[in-house]
Amino acid sequence: MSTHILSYTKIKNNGLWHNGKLITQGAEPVTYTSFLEEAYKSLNLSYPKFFKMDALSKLGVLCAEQILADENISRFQKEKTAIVLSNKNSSLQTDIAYSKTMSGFPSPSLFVYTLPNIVTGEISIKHKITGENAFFIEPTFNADLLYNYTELLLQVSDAALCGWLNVDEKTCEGFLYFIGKQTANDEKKINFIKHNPNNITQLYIN
Amino acid sequence: MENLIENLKKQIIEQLNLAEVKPEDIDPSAPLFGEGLGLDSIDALELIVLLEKNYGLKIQEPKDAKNIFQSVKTLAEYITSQKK
Amino acid sequence: MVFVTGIGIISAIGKNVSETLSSLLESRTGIGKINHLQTIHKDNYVAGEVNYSLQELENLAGLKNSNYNRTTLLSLLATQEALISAEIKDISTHRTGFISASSVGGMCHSELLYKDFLERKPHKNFIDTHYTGSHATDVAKHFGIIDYVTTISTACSSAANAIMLGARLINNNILDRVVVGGTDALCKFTFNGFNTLMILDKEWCKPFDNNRKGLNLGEGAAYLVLESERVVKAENKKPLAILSGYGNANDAFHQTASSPDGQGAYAAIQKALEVANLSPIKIDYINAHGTGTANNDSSEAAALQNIFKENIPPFSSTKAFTGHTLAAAASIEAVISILSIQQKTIFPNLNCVTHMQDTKLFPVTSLQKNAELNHVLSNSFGFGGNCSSLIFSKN
Repeated sequence: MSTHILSYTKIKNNGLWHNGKLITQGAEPVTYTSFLEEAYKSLNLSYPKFFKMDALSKLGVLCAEQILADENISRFQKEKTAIVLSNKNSSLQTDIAYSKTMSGFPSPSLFVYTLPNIVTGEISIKHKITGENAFFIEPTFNADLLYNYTELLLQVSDAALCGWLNVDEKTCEGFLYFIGKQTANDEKKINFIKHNPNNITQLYIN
Repeated sequence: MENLIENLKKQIIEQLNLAEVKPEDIDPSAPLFGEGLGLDSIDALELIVLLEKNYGLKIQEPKDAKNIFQSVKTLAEYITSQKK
Repeated sequence: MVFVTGIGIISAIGKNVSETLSSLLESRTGIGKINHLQTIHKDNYVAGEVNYSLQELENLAGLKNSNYNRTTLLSLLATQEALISAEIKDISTHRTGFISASSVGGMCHSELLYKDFLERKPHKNFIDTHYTGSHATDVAKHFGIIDYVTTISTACSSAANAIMLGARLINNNILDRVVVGGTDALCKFTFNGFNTLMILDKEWCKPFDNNRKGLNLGEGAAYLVLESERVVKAENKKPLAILSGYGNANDAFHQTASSPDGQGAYAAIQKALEVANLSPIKIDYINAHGTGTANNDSSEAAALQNIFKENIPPFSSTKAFTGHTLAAAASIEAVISILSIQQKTIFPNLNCVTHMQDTKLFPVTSLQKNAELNHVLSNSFGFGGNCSSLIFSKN
């Protein structure tokens, strides 16, 4: 059994792409926070909890949505699906927002998001994914780390949602992809991208 | 009292980021938690902050808040009772 | 097979393994008045503070003007002890990695200096060390560990996940040896945050007690040196314990609260037992997550009930000794679990008096010696629903 990248999404420069196809684009000049909310509306998500999330969680939930709705991945059991995410800034923007409230009335709903892995929690809650999860802090996108880690994980899991979700002061960047063990039968039917660091990097930079 | 209820609705929507909810959608007697607005434990903590920030009322124990936060109406009644 | 050949620890109950063990054997808590952290909550709360100032920590590490923040210094000290304990003379002899966890990172430093930074010239070390990964980079560099270095940040289960990853890298022959664990320093940001969630107890916490009011924060660091069977044989080492099982799962319930029936905890424990190839009845002692919050202790009790049914092993939370050390908790408690195996002793769940109403479970509340502990389960459950469990076995 080999592993393939079955679906991927990107959010960059106020645009959302799924499997290389543009799904929605924000009209310039719009802040990324506005874009994330616009994207939510254009996807008809109907998930009020979205508005309580910080930017990192909104980014992750939006990127995950298209992938998890993809028919190519519906056969994977949620208990055997892992989530492996990474970024550089951890929860920095929310840390800043929370610290501003510290001198007056500290906000519990902001504090909740001052950990980078809350986004894995939000994705898990929304889609009832109960497999393993990890969150790595790395100075730049590290395809080797994600590839090596998930190859180990797939000894005990069947699939993994992986990627990079990073929020800056003025920009945000999301790249999520879903890998799953393929059977020989599946391979004949559709051309999926083989799971290796080079292909992961290519999808990330293009 | 009606003024207070209307103000509370707007403050709750803002404090709790209930972006898709309008004040007229909130029934003052409907439960805030469980059904109704379906608020959770973190929302309860934000309501405690709201009470202190906007009305100077401090709740020490989260469990005391259960009755006060039953509905917008009970919240308004609590605020009014504390002003005396 | 993955062997633990070295341990290092620093927390409120001691600056090394020896002091930690004394405190545990003498039921001496490290939770008390806050002396070093300058927080507005100083006089109203207790915490498990490491009893050294930043300068004193630097002195302990034998450094001068290092510009390492508190999180990094704690990490360095514990790593140093772990490497000595594992009798590693030349780190480059084998493929060695460093996997460390933190939630605070350099926040303990940034929060003190950012106002100055905004007004005056940038303070180089302060900017560089805020990034959560900087402690791992600095400590790995300090000890010459270059083959694999990364940082994990998954709240209170972080160090367990670091340990798990280390084990997998060894089992898959990617590394021969890996130093794994976590570190977190107390800081105002964390204090304020936990206070707004209203889950802090102003007094000494009471894990698993019916009248528990919340947790006490703590700080510290702990690391394990994990080595492969091949290295242990080649160097004729006497391992301290075997890391026989590990598991992780997501609770998928709430960002910060645990599900009432402890689903995530149940799944993590189940996976750890599978990896260890053990049935529940083989577990001799559980070092529980037991933070002292109403939510965690009920949820964890439910999970234990569901897995172990009528045969719940003796269990205790040692957080009434150390406080909740956040990203370091799992590794601090891993070291304590290994000490319990070595000493054949179950360390007590301090300050627990009254049975929880909703369950029959009651922890071990006094020191129990002469306990034959072959397999110990250690739980760590973090915000974001991230639940991890580790199993350590006697060598």
